[in-house]
Amino acid sequence: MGIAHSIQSIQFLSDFSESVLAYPIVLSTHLTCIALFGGMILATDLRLLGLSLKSLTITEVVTSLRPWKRLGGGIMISMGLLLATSKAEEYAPNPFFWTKMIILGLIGVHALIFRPIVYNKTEEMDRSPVLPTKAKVAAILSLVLWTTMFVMGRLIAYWD
Amino acid sequence: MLFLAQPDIYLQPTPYLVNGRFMFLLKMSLLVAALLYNFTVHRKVAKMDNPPPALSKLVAIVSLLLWVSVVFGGIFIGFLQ
Repeated sequence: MGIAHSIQSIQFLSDFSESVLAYPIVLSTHLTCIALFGGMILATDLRLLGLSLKSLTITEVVTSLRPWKRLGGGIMISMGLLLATSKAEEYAPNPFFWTKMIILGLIGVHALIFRPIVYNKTEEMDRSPVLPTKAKVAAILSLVLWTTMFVMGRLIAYWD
Repeated sequence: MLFLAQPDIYLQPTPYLVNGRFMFLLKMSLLVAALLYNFTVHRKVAKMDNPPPALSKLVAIVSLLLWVSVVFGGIFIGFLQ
């Protein structure tokens, strides 16, 4: 608890966690990113599963959404860092918070595995007549991981 | 469902300062506005084959602003007691 206490005691973070406007605004921005960033992930995954946006090639969907995903993800993570560090002591014993962090790690692993074989091989996948299984696996895992992220995030507030 | 769990917040007397009930009413108004906007202006422009880019951008920005403010409104209901 020593580290968590030291982090939370940084004056800026301590003020921030008790602020009337700043904290709720950062929280709302973080949640809006679920809609924006999460929505784009959903769109990409649906395209990889062949369930939507079929009039566009996989390459078109992935490359056009990529810069926006980076922006949305960047905002989401910076807001999340502010939120988590300002309540470090409260979150340190919270299992929902730690599950969420573990899932974040798993999402990183997902990216390491699937980026070279799926997300960076969209042209190849467009040429093949059938959607390859690896794309579907990537999409389903992505959906499961991210949904769990969002649920855990919400449940953080409800742990005693 | 959230309303049914904690009706007290939403039934506070009419305020002359900003409180949870005020934010709830504001959020509901924004939600109605966003839905109305979505099913009229937004849908009409989305169906056009070649909408003028300025119009598309304006319609999109208004739509985003409306929906994002619904999210903000929801969070602030809990933060303004």
